[in-house]
Amino acid sequence: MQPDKPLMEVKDLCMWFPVKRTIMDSLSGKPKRYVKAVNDVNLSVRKGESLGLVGESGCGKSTLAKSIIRLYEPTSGSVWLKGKDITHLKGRQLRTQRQSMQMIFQDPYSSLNPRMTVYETIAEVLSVHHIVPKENVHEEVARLLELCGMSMDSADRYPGEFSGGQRQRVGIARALATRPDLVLADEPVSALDVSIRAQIINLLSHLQKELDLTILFISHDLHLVHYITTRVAVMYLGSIVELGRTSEVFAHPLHPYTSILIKAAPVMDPLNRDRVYTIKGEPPSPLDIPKGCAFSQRCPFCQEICTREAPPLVDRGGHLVACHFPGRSGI
Amino acid sequence: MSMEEPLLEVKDLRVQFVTKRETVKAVDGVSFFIGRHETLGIVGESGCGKSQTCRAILRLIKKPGKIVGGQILYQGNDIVTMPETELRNIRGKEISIIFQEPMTSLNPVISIRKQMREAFCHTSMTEAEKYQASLKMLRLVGIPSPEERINGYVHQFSGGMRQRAMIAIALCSRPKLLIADEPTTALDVTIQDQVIKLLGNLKQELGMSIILVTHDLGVVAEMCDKVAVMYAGMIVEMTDVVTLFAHPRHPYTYALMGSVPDQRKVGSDLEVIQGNPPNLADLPAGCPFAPRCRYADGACSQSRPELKEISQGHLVRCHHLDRTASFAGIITVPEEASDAT
Repeated sequence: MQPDKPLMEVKDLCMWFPVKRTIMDSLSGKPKRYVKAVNDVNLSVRKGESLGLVGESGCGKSTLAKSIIRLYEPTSGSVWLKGKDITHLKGRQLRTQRQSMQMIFQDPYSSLNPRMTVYETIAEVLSVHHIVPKENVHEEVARLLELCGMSMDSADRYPGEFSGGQRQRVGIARALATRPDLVLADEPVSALDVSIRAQIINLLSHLQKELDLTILFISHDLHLVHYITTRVAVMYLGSIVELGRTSEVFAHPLHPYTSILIKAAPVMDPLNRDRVYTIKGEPPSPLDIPKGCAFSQRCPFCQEICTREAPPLVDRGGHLVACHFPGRSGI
Repeated sequence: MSMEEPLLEVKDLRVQFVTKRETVKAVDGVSFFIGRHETLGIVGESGCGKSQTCRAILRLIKKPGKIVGGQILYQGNDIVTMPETELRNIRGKEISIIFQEPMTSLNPVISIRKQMREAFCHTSMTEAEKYQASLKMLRLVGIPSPEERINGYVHQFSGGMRQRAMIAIALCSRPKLLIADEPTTALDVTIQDQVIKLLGNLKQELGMSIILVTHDLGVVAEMCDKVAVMYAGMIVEMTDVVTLFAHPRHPYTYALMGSVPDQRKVGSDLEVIQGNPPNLADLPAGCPFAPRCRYADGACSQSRPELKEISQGHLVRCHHLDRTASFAGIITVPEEASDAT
């Protein structure tokens, strides 16, 4: 698909979490059950691009990110970073690889240590990963803070003294401290006040251009993903159902779920309220994913084949879709 | 709107949280009214006093908070000074409230059936009638097989179902006014869409008024007739929803609209509101938005602007209405639609 080598690649990745069984369950021979959070996902990210990952809560987008950064060890499949298989790395080797990928978390209130000053928070990363020699740490912290729009005056203060937006800036500075190639941003603005979100969004898109960062951007906010990413993957119940250039996916969604998601996001236009497409029901439990197409139960265009056979992810000229009747929804 | 008496009128409402160290003016002189069958949206970011305004309407302010001034006239009677016994006939009966997080506002150890039964305590129904009425409500809000679900508990419901159950309980008494405090914030877009449509239909069917509190301008555009934008405990702009999006006049409203990512803005920078929301215990003397406002000058930091009516029903609190007149809204109103509100 792409001529140049991907920076990060995920191949047939599955992340299943076993459900706890009681002794009675195992004695009576009940089969083991799994929450299939991520199911056979294939994904690749090229250097310098920003890839969006959208879907409803519980669709596995955060689990996928955590498997990529190896906070989880995937059940099967593999994760490749710069041509190296990192799926089962441990200890020191894993730590070395983590230098090249960092995560920005959703909640800046719980992802920063309240007992460490901003300086300590960032300096710790620098010393753990030996990014700069000891005598340059101070300088480097100042550089990182400035990059994220903060001054050295705030370095000796604790996260509790800052507002959400500033904390998120510290979180971003910390993520950038290792000079990563890949940044995974898991809902980086959803915990912030509306008037603050734009600051952080602008910061991220500037940093991306300036540092040639590769960002995997996880969000449930479609307008935001449309705004900030160049490619987008739509997930439903642990699988990718559509993947393509953001402008293309938003203009001509091929999967009915994508078009419904786009239509369901409220637009700021009181004169245009009658949006026809609605979706019934809620996503089924990832404990028992329906047979056939996972979306079939909620799909307004469901046919007999959809309940029988799971559609494969098919490449239609760089725009991938997993649907038996792609583009059927005609929007 | 209509000439008849408004259903609810709030006049110069003030809510303060007084502690030894500081006084927080959570709501600082808020006035608005809501007519029958109207939906009023209250927009603002966290800490702007929108939720406290709603809680005050039912006198649900938690200590050390207190209503320190103003009137809340419900069909002409003042809720602020009303004795508790009389208030009980309004709270949950005439005016119901639903909260943002249904998991924490529903009781986890009582079945849905019992919680719904409580909602009928204002009526003289028999047990059997209450049960039937509960089933009917659950069906109305779109809970499948209510006969089974009604005996269930909150944790057995999904997020969307919980919010539906909350709405069902709130509507049991057929309230004339429903206060919805961020009813869709905790929900996914598809479920949010369902709840928005549900509330819209119920409003039609039951003929009630709704006060919708939210930080999401998209939801406002979708649901409301009238909108009040709040900042630092004050209303800074209030008008009908079309005018708000077509001709915003307060710099805060304008900046908020510009800061929301949108396909129309791809490739350009988002409008940024500098700084942070103000500390309500330590508000600047002048306009509370002045430190973050790009149009602010000396006058703004000295005196607090009044809420001025600049055209029929359009109120704005700003010293520089001349400068804000050039604001372009994010929608344009076609000729024939401009008089349909």
